[in-house]
Amino acid sequence: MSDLMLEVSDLKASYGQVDVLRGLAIEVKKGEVCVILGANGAGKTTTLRSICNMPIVNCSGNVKFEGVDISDEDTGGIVGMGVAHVPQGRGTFPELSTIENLQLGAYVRTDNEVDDDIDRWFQMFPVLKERKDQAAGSLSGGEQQMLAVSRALMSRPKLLLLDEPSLGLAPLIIEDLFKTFEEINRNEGTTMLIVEQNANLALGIADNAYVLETGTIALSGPAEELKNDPAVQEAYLGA
Amino acid sequence: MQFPLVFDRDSAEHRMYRIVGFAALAVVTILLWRYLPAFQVKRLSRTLAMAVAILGLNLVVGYSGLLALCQSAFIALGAFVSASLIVDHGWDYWMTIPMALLATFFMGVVLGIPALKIKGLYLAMTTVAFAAAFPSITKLELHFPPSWLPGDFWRGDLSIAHRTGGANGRALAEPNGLGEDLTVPSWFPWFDVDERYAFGCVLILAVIAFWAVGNLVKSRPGRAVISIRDNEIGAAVSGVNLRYFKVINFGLSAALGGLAGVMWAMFSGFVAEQDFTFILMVDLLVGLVVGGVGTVSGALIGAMVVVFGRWLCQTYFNYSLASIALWGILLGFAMFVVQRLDHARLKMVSAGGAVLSFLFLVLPTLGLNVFKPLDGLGFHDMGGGPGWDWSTFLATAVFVVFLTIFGLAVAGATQNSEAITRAGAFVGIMGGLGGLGTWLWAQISVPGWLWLGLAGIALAWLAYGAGKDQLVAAGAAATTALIAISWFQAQVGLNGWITALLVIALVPAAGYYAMNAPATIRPIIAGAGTLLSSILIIHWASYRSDIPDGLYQLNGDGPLSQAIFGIVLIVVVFFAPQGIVGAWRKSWSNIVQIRPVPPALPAGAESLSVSSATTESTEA
Amino acid sequence: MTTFLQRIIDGFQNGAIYSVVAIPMVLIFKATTLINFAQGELAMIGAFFGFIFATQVFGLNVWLAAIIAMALAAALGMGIERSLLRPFDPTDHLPVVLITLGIFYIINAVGGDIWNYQAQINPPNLLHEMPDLGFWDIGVWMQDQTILFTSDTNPLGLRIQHDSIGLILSLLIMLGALYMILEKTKMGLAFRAVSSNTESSRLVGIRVGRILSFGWALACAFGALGAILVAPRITLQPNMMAPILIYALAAAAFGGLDNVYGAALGGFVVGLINSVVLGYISDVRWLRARLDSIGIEDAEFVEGLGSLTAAPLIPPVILLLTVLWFRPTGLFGTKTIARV
Repeated sequence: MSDLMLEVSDLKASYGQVDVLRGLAIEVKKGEVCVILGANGAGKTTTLRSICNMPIVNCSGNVKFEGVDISDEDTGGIVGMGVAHVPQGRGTFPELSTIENLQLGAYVRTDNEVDDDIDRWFQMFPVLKERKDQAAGSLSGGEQQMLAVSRALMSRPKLLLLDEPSLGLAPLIIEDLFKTFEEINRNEGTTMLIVEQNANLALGIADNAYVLETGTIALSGPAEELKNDPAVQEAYLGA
Repeated sequence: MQFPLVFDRDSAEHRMYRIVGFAALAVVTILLWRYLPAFQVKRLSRTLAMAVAILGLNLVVGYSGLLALCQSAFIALGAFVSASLIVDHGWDYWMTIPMALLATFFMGVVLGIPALKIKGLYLAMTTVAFAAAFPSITKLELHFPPSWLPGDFWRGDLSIAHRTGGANGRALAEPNGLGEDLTVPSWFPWFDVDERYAFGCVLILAVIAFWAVGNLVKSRPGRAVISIRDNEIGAAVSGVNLRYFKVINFGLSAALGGLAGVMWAMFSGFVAEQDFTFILMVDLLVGLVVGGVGTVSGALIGAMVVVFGRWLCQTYFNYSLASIALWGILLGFAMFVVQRLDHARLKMVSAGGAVLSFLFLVLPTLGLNVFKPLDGLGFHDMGGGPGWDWSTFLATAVFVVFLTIFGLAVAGATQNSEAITRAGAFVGIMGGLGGLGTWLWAQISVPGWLWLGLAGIALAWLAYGAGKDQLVAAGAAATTALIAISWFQAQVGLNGWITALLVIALVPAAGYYAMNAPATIRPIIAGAGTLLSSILIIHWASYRSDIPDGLYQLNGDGPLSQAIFGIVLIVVVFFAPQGIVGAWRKSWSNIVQIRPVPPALPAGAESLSVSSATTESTEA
Repeated sequence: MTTFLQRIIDGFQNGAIYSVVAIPMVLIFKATTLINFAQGELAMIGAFFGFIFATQVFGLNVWLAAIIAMALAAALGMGIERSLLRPFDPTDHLPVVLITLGIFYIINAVGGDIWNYQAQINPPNLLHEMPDLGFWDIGVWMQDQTILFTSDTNPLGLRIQHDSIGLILSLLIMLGALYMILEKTKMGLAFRAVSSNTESSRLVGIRVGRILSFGWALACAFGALGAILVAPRITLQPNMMAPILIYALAAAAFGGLDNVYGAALGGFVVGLINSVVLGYISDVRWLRARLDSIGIEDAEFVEGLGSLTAAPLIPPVILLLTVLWFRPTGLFGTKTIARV
C-alpha cells in the first residue's frame, strides 16, 4: 500500500441532475505515469477536478494522497500537499508576465530556491525565457501549454495532474510535449496522472492506463496490455 | 375545496378568476380614490408616476439586461418639456404628452446608441454619471430651441434655465405664465378636489402604460428583447436584429420615463431639478428590485413600497435614534423569538400577536379611539391632521401588509411552511407589541422605559422558556457594560485610554459572566440588561433635538429613514432577490396554479405535436 | 499663460481628490469585479475615524490616528465584503450594484445622524504634522499659508499654496506605495493572479477568499488615508464624498476599471478638464474676446456657455461618453471577449 501515491475510491460527482461519475476507483503508484482515456463526456475532466476539490462539482467519495485522506481539504491545501493540476485550456494568468506565472506556481513554497527552479524550466523550455516579460495571454498555444506545465512543476509536486495537454496543439508540438513529460517523469520522478484523448501518444509514455466510459472504469491495466486490447484498438487507436 | 386550485390557462375558470381579481383591484382603487384624504391621493398619484417610470426602467434593466441607470433624467426631461409647454406656450396638459414622449424617446435613442458599445458596469457608471449630471443641465442659460429659428412659435427667446426654472423650480400655475393647475372640470361632479381629479388623469395614463407594456413583453419584439438578455449571440444567430431592438427598447423605456414626468407635472403642479437627482434613480431601483425585476406588476408594488415606505419610515421612525433603538430592540426580539421557539409556541405567539395588533392597532385606526393622539418619541400622528383618520388606517394597513409580504417573501424564498409560521409570528410580535407599547405610552404618559422594561422582561421570560438564553444574556450584559462605560465617561470626563481599557476588559467579561451565570439568573440579566441599555440609549438620544436633512435634502426626510431604506434594499436583495412579486407567485402557487395549455397546432403537424408533448412530460 | 498654468495646477489638485475615491474603486473592481458605489462613503467614514481618534476621544498623534483609522476602515471593508458581497455571483451585476448602493445610503445616514451633516472644524491635517528633516521642517513648511511663488519670485504670478503641492505629492507617494505592494510583494502578485484568473489561482494554492479580503482591506485603507489627507481641503462632513463620487466614477471608467494607474491618470484628467474647460468657459471676458476674434458676437451664447459653471458634471460625462465610445473598456482596461 505504501507505494500508492493516489488512491481514489467510490468517487461520485454530478452537475445538477446529471450524474457524471458513478463510483470511480483509481490507483496511481509512486513514480509512474498513469493515463485516463475516454471519449467526450466520459467524465475525465470531472475526475481530475474532484481530486483537487475544485468548486462547481458536486462530488463525494474517498481520495487518499500518500495515504492521507484529502477529500475534505480545500484546493489550496491539496496543492500545498504536493498535487499540481494543469487544467484544461491551460489556465495561465493571461495578464501577468511569463515569469510572474512561474513565480505564482511556487506560491505554496516557502524556500528560497524559486529562482533556481525558474532557471531550470527556462532551460527546459528556452522559448519561455525569450518571452520572459511578455504577458502570458500573448503566447502561442504551445508556449502557453509549456508555461502551464512548468508553472505546475514550480510547486515541486509529487503528483502532477494533466488535463488534455494535447488539446488544440499541432501534432508535432504534441509529440515534443509528451517527450518532455516522459523526460520529467524519468529525471524528476514526478508521478503523473494524464487525462487524454490522444490514446496513441498517451499509451506510449504510460505505465498504467484506465479507460473511462460514462462515469465508470470500463477497462484498466498496464499500458502495453491495453495497447494490444482489440476493444481499445478499435475504439481509441483507430486500428 | 382542494388546494392548490388548478386552472387551465385561458379556460373559463381562469378568465373568471382574472376578472374577479381585476374587479377587486378596481373596487379598491375607486374606494381609495374617493375616500382617502387629498394629500394621500396625491401620494397615490406619485406612486403611479413612479410605477410607470419603474416599468420603463424594467424594460431596459429587467427585460434587456442592460444596466442603464438614468431613468431619473428621462422623468426630468418629460416633466420639464411638459411644464415648459404648458407655462410658456399655453398648451393643454394632454397635448404635451406626445411632445414629452417624442423628446424622451429621441433622447433615449441617442443614449441607446452608445449603449450598444458600452457594456456591463461601464454602462452603469456612465449612466449614473449622466443621471447625476442631468439636473444641472436645467440651470444652463443656453437658449433652446436656438434663438435664430424663425417665428414666435419656437419661443427662441427663452433659455433652458428659464424654461425649467433653474434651481428654483417651476410652478405650472406661475403668476405671469400661461398655464394653470389641473382643476376639476365642472362636468366632473363626483371628485370634488383637484387632487382627486389629477389622480384620475394620472390613473388613465398609468393604466394605458401598464396595458401596453404588459402586451409588449409578451409580443414577438418583447420576446426578441428577452432573448437578447438571455443570450446575446444566440439571439443574433437566430436572426434578432440586436442593434434595432436594443435601441428601440432603450427609446421606449425613456419614453415611459417621459410619461412619468408628465404625470409628475400633472399631480404635483410643480417641477424642480432637486426632485430628479440621482437619489430618485436609487428610489426607482429600489422599487424595481423590491417589486421584482422582469415583472410588470412588480413595478406597481415596488412604487408603492418606495413612496409609502419612505413616508412610513418618516412617520414611524420620527428621525430620532431613540425610536430606532425601540424598533431595533423590538425587531431583534421578534427575530429571536422567531428563531428559537418551536412550532407550537410560534403559533401561540402569532395568535397572541394578532389579537394584540387587532386591539391596539386595528381597532383604534378604525376609529374606535382607544388612543389619545400621540406625539413624542417614536410614534406620532401621521401627517394628516389631528387624531386618527383614514390615512392613519392606510399607514398601519400598509405597514402590516408590507411586513406580511416581506415575511411571505422570505417564506417563499425558503419554500417552507415553517417559515410562513415564523413570518406570521414575526408580524404578530411587531404589530402586537408595537401597538401595546404605543397604547401604554399614550395612556400612561410614561416615557418608553416602562414599555421597554416590559419588553425586556418578556424577552427574558421567552429566553428562559426557549432554553437558549445564553446568547441573549451575554449580548444584553455586554451592551449594558459598553453603554454604561460610555455614559460614565461622559459624566466623569474619563481619559480615552482608560475608557478603551475599561471597554476591552469589562465588556467581554460581562458577556462571559452572563453566559456562564446560573440558569436562574440569566433571564434576569437579559431582562435587566435590555432595560438598562434601553434607558441609557434613550437618555443619550434625547440630547438630539434637530433633524438634519439627509441625502434626500427634503424637509423631514432625515438620515434614519434613508438608513432604513438602505437596509431594506440590502435585505431584499439578500433574502428575496426575486422581489415581492416573485416571492408572492411562489407562495400563491400553493393556492392557485395556472396550467399552461400548449397552443393548437396547424393541421398536418400531428406527429410533431405528439413528440414534443412527450419530451415536455419527461422533462417535467 | 499664467491663468492657464494656474488652472492646470488647480486641476491637478482636484484630480488628486478624485483619485482618492477612484483608485480604491478600481482595486475593489480588480478583487471582486464590482463597482463599489459606497467607496466614497467608506473613505468618508475613514476620515471620521481619524478625526475621532485625533481630536474627539483620545487626542492621539495625528499619524497614529491615521493608522488606526486605516486599520478600522480596512476591517470595515473586509467585513462588508465577507458578509454582504461574497454570497453573490459578481457576474450578475444588478444585485451587487444594489448592495453597494444600500451600503452607501446606510453609511451616509449613520454619519449624518452622528455628525449632523455639519462640517467639523479643524480636521486632523497630516501634511501639517510632517516630520522635521533637519534641513527642512516639512510640517512647518506645509503650514505656511503664504503663496509658494509670489509675484516677486516668479514673474508669472502663480498662486500655489504649499499644501496643494503636499497633497499632490502625497497622493503620488501613496500610488508608489500601492505599486510596490501590488507589483513587488507576494501578496500583491497573488492579488493580481486572482483578478486575472480565479480558478487557476486556486490551483496554485492561493486562498482566494483571503485575497479578496486583502483587496478590500487595501482599498479601504488607501481610501481612508486619502480621505484624511483631502478632508482639510474639502471640509470634513458626512456628505463630503457624495459629489466626488461621480467624478471618481468618470475617472475610474476613463482609465479602465481594472487598471489602478489608469484610474489615477483618469482622476487627473477629469480634474484638469474641469478646471481648464470650465475655467475658460466661465471667464466671460476671455470667451467673448475669443468669439469676437472668430466673428461670433452673440452675447446670449457667451452668457449661456458661462452658465456651464453651474453644471460642472457635464464635461466629465461628455469625456466619459467619448472615451467609452472609442474604447468601451476605458483607455487602459483589459478587453473582455464574450463567449457564447
